[in-house]
Amino acid sequence: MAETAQKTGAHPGVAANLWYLSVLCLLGWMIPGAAHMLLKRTKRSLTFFFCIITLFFWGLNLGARMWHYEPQQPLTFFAMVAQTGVGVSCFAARVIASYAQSHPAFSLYNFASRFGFGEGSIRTITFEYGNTFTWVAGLLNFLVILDAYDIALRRKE
Amino acid sequence: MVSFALLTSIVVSLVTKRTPKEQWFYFWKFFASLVLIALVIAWIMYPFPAR
Repeated sequence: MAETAQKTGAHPGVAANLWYLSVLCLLGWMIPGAAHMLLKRTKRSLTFFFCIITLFFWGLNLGARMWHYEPQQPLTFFAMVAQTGVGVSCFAARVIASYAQSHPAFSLYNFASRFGFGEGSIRTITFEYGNTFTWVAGLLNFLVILDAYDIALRRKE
Repeated sequence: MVSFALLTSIVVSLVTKRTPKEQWFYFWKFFASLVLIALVIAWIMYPFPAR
């Protein structure tokens, strides 16, 4: 890494820092609070993890839909991006939904049925609440990633 | 609604404020704002039911 930085004429500290920041942000996206854990902000990390994961899965329990981009409805792009902000949890939920749909004996079948195996329970009163919970969980994680980025750059304590 | 406001306020106060005292006060301010604004909007919509 240092050799590459020397060849390009860049300062090796900057290249290393960029890698570190990238890994930090990526981990923070994949697991809410992981970036703060790497930065040794344990309490903050656990708080973010608990709040964001609770919001997301509570939203699914309320009947939220797993949004994906539909060209006929371009605004679904933003819903998809917001939900994907939670990281691995979003993909885990999609896997659970698709697996449970064809395996009724699966232990998480009841949970997956609550959010219509990814399609959402549009007939339930809490459908829109659930959607809001999942979107806000993802968007809050983006804020948390930015917070970790600022802490890593020593802009914050 | 209250639980949503609680979880959101915790994250937002931790992200935006620096000292624990500032975070504490901002948490309550943000939480109260969310809950009160939601109640106000609910009462404004009350005369116009869905059905």
